[in-house]
Amino acid sequence: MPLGVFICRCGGNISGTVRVEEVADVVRKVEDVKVVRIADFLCSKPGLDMIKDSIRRFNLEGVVVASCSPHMHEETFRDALEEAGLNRYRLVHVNIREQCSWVHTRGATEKALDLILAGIARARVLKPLEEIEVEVSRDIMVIGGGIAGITSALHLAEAGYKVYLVERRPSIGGRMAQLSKTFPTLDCAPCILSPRMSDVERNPNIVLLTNSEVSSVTGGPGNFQVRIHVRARGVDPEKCLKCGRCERECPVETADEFEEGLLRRKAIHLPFPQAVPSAYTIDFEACTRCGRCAEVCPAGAINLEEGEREIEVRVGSIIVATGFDLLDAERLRSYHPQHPNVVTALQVERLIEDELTAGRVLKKADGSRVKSIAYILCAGSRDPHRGLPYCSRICCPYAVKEAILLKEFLPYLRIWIYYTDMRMSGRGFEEFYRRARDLGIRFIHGKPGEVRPTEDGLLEVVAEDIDSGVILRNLVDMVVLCTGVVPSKGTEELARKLGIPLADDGFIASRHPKLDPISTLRDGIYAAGMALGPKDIHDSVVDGKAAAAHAMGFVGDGRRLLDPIKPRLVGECDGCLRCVESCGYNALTFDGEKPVVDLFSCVGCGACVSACPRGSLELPHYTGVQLEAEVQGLLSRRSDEVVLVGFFEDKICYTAADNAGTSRISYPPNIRIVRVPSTALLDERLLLKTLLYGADGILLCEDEGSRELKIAERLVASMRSTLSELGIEAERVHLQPMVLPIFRVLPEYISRFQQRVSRLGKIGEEEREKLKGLL
Amino acid sequence: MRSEMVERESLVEVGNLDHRFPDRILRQPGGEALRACFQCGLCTASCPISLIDSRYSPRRVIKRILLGMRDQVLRDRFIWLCSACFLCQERCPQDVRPPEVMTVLKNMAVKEGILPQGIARMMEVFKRTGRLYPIDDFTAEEREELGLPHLEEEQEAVKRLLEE
Amino acid sequence: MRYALFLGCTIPARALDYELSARSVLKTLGIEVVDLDFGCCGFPIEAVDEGKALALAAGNLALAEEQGLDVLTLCNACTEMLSKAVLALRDERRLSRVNRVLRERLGWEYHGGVRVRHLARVLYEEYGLDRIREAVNRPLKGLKVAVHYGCHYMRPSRVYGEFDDPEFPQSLDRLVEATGAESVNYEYKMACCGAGILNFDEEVAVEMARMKLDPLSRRGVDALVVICPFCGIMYSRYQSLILREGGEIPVIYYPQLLGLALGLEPDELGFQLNVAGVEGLLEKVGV
Repeated sequence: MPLGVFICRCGGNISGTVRVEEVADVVRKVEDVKVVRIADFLCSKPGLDMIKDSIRRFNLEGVVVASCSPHMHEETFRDALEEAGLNRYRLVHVNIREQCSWVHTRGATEKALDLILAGIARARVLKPLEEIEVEVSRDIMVIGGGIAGITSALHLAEAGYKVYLVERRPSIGGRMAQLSKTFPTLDCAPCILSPRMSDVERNPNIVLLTNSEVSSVTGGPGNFQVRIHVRARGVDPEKCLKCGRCERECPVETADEFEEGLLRRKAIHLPFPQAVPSAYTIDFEACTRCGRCAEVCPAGAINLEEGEREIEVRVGSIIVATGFDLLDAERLRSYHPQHPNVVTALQVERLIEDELTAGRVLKKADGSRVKSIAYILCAGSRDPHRGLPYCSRICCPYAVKEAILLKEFLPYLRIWIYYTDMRMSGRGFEEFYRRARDLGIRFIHGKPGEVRPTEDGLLEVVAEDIDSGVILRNLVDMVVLCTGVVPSKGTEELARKLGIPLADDGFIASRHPKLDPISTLRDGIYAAGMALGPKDIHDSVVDGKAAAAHAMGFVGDGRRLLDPIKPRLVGECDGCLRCVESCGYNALTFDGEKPVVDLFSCVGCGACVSACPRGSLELPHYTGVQLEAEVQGLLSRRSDEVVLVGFFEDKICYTAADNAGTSRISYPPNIRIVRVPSTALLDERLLLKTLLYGADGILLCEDEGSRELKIAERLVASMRSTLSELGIEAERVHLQPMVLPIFRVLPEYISRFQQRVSRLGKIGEEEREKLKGLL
Repeated sequence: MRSEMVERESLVEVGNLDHRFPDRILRQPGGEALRACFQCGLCTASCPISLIDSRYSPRRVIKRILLGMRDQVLRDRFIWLCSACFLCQERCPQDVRPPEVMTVLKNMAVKEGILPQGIARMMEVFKRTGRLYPIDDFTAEEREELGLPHLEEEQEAVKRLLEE
Repeated sequence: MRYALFLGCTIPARALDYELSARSVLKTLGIEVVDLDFGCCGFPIEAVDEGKALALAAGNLALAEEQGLDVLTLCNACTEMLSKAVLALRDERRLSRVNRVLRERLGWEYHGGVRVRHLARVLYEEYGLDRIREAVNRPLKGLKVAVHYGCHYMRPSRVYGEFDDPEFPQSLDRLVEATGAESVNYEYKMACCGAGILNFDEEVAVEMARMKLDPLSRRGVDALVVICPFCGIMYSRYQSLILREGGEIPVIYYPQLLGLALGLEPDELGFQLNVAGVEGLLEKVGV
């Protein structure tokens, strides 16, 4: 079996620590190795060409690439193999950078050699695999009908895709519908939003579901089965004339959430004038079902008995655009948020729209005129203990915007903006800031400690203006708290249903913060807008279009290639159903004779493989034979120091190890890591063999949040008791749960484990003999 | 109106700054979050002393520490004026703890021989008697009249703990 | 309920009315207190040497620990210093350093686990408002009282575990109401008394006290109730300096108020010692 080995210098990143020529010399002498090449950048065009050339020239049947982490360029190298006529799954990608040259100062060369020898051993036994072509749904779901969701939906619909737009409220429009004008151009928000909203309604490709929420998601990327819970509206939008007679009759009054609590509304109401669907709706939580509205409705549009319903749809891709809420101002107690003249910025938007555009002035709670206003920026933001640790980004521009609008409507107003830092970085924003200063809006560079209501009905605000060095005492009529933004209520629950993790700031986690910001950590699910973090309308629209492009690319023409690393039956099945029970993703069913794998739901973890008592299932590309060969290769050379073999789950743990490498955190070189889809794939036999072949310690690393962790725990417990019976120290096998945000401690865990095993010393020849006997 | 001749304040040369000064504060209990300060000024805005004399600003002291202006900070009058009311500590968005930082500065100043008179006098009585207010004969009599338990004039344990 | 009573330095010499009224009230309510040979809590020397201050605090805690008692304090500053010490000494390194000093100098050692509670907190949390109300037999109806918490009663909040809101507390108001008196809201209710810097700059300290007393004197209250001798001395001894336009405000300690409501006599509560005139107040109460 002719093999080729290609070693990358990575521009010194590898060759600066690993003596690549030495390694190449050793490798050249290994059986089956027909060609060994060293290049500066294997991933570049000349590098890839060289690999393809070599494949053709030497008729290679297997390729080992030793370079950076497979997470970087595995697909690139696989493509190269395919272009050269070799099956793409004949590639073994060895990590000698993130997990070698970047983290070890001594022993890096020896470790690189071991890793490559392991790669060669694995390459000998890899089999060609074909990706599985499946049919996927071309329909796409957008969750959230704010500006980001509307943008995605329209973009997709116009490209010919069928879109389900699911909105929790009775109308789409989101937060943008509540605004007066947008910064920095001062466009009228409802004026630019409304046409988009009616486009959504009119577009035949968009199925608009309002009053609706996702209740469950099953299936997998390309074939999501989504259950949607549709609440009763109580009013038929087709029949409703919007005459308003029902509203006048309704005896129930409650706070109007569109008006941020400043006004009241009836139980039956129009969400706002430009609502889409353009019809009344009943708030059944407030409604007493007295029936007066139904009596007076001339169109017979009201049905108080309308029930809720559940519908199920199949979509190929999902876009999450669930938007934001403002931080609850009640938390900022020293700013007296409950005082009637202390308001939030969103309330000011409503005041501008309801009062000022109607030609009225701003009034205090007691009816007197507001003549002075203080804006407090960073209210609750950039404060990890009392509020949000992050900057909410839109507050500086929205405060400047509101101040400009207020000043232009009512020039007599004295407006003060109290800031910690003015962050005005968008296009047109600096000019906007200048406009505010030109209008005489005063900026105070200092944060007030409290808002103190005085006995004569004013609000006292004291702050240091650090630019001038004076401490100012101000008495104003109204205070606006510029509170920060948080993901909208229910985001966490929805994310759990979709199987997508949140980042540690509470917003949806991106696959890569720079290079792949729109993809979530699950294939086929994308996110847009504030759901991904604080941003303005411009960026939300950009996100919306990007997410639409992603979704379109994902579902393509309705056919996709699934990766072939899914379990298959290779032996007898006696119907014990242990595989079905072991699956944490409901991907296995029993058809009466054998297990059947749902290719969409299956994530390729391999739990079923280790669960089968007869060993009748195998996971291609990670079969027992292949894993064993790799382990043997890792341990083929003798070492005086203790040797540790790590089995690291791919998505989280292997990535954590890579991240530690990128951060250049050192740890001892004794550990050699084997990349596995999950540790649930492993069985005791393989672990015992690992010790037999020469390992002195085994470290399993598994995703702490996963169902696979439980399986790994049982495996390690069983392994430990087996070892104890053999007289071998049980602590030589250890399971380390890991989560991505704390990758920095992984090197420490590895160091500690290495120290523990070092103290126990190498496993004696006698003990290894005992293992042989067992196997 | 004649303008007063104000003493000039000259430039601060970066070379004259003590770049290790902030680290020394960081190492003391209470100083851990010093570098988190982003100068929002909320501490000064909440400070009752600053309200009375706005020349004084805990925010400015923190900035001067971060710059490494060691001598100016240790000789600053303000560090002794902190009444430790802890309002700034409750409200600081970055948990910087100005009153605790002031305590660290005061301790450092004392080591360099800076000790305000009032405090020096108090320390003298304290070291001598082990009490802030020694229980003199008059007080002892008053206590007896009121039926309060007898207390020794001086406190031995405290004296011993304070010995050099 | 049995505690080691911690008086600190100021009370036994300068605020005998607080000590007397506290002892009388505790006795009446059936809360037993024990007098140990406590020394200074350490607060006054923190500015000079924080390590020594911690050692002083730890010494007191060691005394209480030896008797298996929790500490009941009367002074806000002592409460803060001792509570802070309890928290700080949970750190192994600091504890061993302090114990080294205690062992060398006094042969003492502190191991941890002593609780420190201000009298007002004990009454509010452990004795309870209901029992206080039951024990009241001379309700102080019609009495308008201004409450002054001081700064160290509930701040820094991380030391006290936020048993009461650090900026909007209400435990002392409730305690006053339990006596039948009314606790009035007033401007600058949370202002610091300034006693902490009296030693260093009397002018500024007096200015701080003025911030509260001025508006209060114009408003007119029957008493200003305090729970710390620093605050008490600041507001009573400097009143003549502060109040430019006459109008005295009687400054009394909470146990003095509670004692009246419990039916005790004024001279059991130290009223004969109060600096600012309390005759008007006592008359209103009817004693």
